[in-house]
Amino acid sequence: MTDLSNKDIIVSTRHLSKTFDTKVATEKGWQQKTVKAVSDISLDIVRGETLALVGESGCGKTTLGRILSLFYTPTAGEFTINGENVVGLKRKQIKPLRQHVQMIFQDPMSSLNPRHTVEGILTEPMKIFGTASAEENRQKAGDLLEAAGLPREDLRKYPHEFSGGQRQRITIARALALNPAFIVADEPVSALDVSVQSQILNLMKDLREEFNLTYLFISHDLAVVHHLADRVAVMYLGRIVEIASRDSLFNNAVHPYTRALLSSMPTITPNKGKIGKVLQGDPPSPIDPPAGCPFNPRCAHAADICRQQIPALEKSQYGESHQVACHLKGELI
Amino acid sequence: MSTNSVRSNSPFLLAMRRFKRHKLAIASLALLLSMIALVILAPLFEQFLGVDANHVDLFNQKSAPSAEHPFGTDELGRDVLVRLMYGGRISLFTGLIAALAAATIGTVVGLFAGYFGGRLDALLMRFTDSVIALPLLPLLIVLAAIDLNKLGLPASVVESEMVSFYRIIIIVALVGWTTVARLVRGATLSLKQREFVMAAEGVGASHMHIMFKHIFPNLISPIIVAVTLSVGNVILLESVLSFMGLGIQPPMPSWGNMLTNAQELIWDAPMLAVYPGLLIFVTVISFNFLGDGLQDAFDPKAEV
Amino acid sequence: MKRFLLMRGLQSLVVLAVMSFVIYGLIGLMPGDPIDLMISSDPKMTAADAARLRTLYGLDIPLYERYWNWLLSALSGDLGYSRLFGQPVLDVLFPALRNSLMLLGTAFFMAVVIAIPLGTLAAAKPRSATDYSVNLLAFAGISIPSFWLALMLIMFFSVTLGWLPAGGIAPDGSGFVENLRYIVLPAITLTIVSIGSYSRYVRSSMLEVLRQDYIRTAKAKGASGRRIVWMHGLRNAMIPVVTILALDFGFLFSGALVTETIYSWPGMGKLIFDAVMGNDFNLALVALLFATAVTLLGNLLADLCYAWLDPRIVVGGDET
Repeated sequence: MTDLSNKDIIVSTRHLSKTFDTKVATEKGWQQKTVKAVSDISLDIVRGETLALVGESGCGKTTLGRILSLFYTPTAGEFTINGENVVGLKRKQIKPLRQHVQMIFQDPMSSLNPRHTVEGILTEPMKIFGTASAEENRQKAGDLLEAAGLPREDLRKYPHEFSGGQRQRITIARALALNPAFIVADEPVSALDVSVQSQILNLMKDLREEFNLTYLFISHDLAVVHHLADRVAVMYLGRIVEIASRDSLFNNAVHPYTRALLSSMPTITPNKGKIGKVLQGDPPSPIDPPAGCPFNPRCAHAADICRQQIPALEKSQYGESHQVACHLKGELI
Repeated sequence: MSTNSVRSNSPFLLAMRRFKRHKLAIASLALLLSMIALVILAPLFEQFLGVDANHVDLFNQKSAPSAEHPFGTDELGRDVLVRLMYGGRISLFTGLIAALAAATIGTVVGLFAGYFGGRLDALLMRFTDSVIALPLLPLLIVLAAIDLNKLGLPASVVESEMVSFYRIIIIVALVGWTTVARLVRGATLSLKQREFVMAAEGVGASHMHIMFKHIFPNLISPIIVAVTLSVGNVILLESVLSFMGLGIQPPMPSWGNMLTNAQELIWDAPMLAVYPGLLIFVTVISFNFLGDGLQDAFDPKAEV
Repeated sequence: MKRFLLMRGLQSLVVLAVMSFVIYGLIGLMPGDPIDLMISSDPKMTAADAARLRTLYGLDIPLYERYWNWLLSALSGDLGYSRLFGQPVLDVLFPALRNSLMLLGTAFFMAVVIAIPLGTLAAAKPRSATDYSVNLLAFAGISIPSFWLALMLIMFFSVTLGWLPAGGIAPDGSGFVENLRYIVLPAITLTIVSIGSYSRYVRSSMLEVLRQDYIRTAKAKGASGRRIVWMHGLRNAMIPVVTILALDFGFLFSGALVTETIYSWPGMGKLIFDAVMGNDFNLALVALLFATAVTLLGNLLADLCYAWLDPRIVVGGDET
């Protein structure tokens, strides 16, 4: 593990796993299958940092994000927020924790209730958690809206009167309503036009400074990640395969998967860093993960040990803070 | 970024604007509103014409229209116009209340089934399917034929004037809730997937809060459509039961029970058999057009 | 698939069993019981006599026991005696059933034969004058009170024109034409109401199908527009339509009750009505159960059609 003993850790997990039971259509009818969405995640998130989580769709980043924002309960492992255990809690016990961690959702079209006004949307968390008067709540809602870059008068409007980017600002304002320290942003700009993306990213940057926020930034877009992240974790088939500071990852990627991703980016400009058809072969399915290293079927360097043993996430040749899960690390150029 | 004019742009008003384009639905609405107005004013007509809806006059049976009785008299000498108006009151009122009662039951069932899913959903839906699979009219007839004394109700209740009215609302609601239940369940299931539901959970909302403050407001449009469309059916059911003597009991008039003796009337006073049925037909078809128009207004993507 | 059939069949049986108890209880709540009727026809009967007779007829034992006794007899083939007709219940039931099927079959057939072309025509030219007129007619069909329609038809064809009888059924041994004279009006009444809902189903089902890609492909390949509509579309749209028709057959059964009563058509519907109104407990009970069974069967058939179409529905349990 990275030595963060002298740092203020806000969120910590050890060997976190999440499996789902699902029914899959086969010729024999429906069969019960287990999906290993997330496996053996051990992570420490430092207060004030922005940790990015990248990977292809299906890699488990959204699931991990939802676990960390208290929507899913982990199947195994430990998970603490501010040092307090979060696993195995009932719904009532989780409620107070929601003041510490909030989520920014991906789809601006569906994350706001079309029947509520902006004021209603923003004051809802306040009413649930606090006993302030309606006037005080409205005042605070207006403050949040302005912090998110929208005029106070927009409080009385309905979501459909706003553009996608503006709705995302409202979502961000809502996430701030309870003064959380930790925010999980699940692909917050993926559904927005390119021109609007940088606006929202800059907003998130400003708010980070203003409110001393810690972000878990989930994205499949490496260019966006480069813009905002302090550290980057790369996920594949439910596991973290590499984690490092932003510069170390982009300049000194070790894991073959990370390198494949980066090599598909001609230049680091927005929208060109998308993880698309980078690699050959079929995208992995979390229902039947291969034995050994999850990446071995698509890895050009796969050796026998790769097919037999799952590599642990350990320090690389670049130091404690740059970790890789690969048997062949150090041997690859 | 423009700031719009002061008027509110709630989704409801947008739907209303779409609704205005449906001429047939607007016409139906106008017709129904005037009809409702007329039947509410029935007592005034009574006074104006100087007749009493229940006044039996055996010397003036089945008379042709006259100054005193604009629509003539029925087989007991009662004024037809005023009875039609009072009958309309009962039929419309019963229809609306029964439809609302059925919709309430259906909404609760569908909302809980759709929101909680799992075993509760399976149980509720099996039950709903079973009720749907029953023969409607035969069962209604049996329910309507029950001797209330045997149920243990006090004699004062059983003999009262309003009992047939309550009874018919109850039994129609007992069988009519299933359509709304299915509709609401489907809508709830799809609404549950929307991110704003998860967002509400994220800010600490309880299940009840989510169901009634988030999901239910988005259910109102489909419920309104379902209720409007079901009023027609309910009116038809009430009229059938009243026609057979099992619904609204005379002397309280309803369009249905005004036709009870129609099979004999068609031989010498055919118009008496025409008016009530015609009114039922026009009312029901108006509700259907209205419901159709509302459906298009609220959800233009859905093709009927 | 077999498992599904079994489950659904079982579910229907359970519903039928539960309903048999419910109906038994409801019938018991109907006004008057046999002893009261006896008392009213024989004023000399004393309270003691009445009590003795009650015990004799088993009317003083609790509901559950009475139900259980009835169930045992019923399952062994003894369904009781009809008071109104003075015959065993089954002897009354089967002729009525035959008459109902005759009427329903005719009406069903006519409705389907008319509704399918109508609905297809409307779907082929959406938002055209044809579409709107068909829609209007359909709305009229579902909005009209069937008993009033029956009255109007009788008024016109029997009273005014004198062409057709105002009710009843052709006596046994009548020729085809004679039978036709009696069946025409009730069948037309049922047909008009059914056409209303069927043509709308056909229309929406066809619209759904016409929207699908392969129709566009067929058009691109050059098949003439009309041919596409009738061949490809019809075949595929018929599947959900058949399903709904299977469902509706059960409903038709209960909907015909009013029509049969007005036309004095001696079918199951009229039987139920007469039995309930005449307080003939045995007959009412069995007839109602029968109606329930038929409707459940219709539903089961419809579910089978759905399942046959879309196997996913079968095992997935409850989908949206």
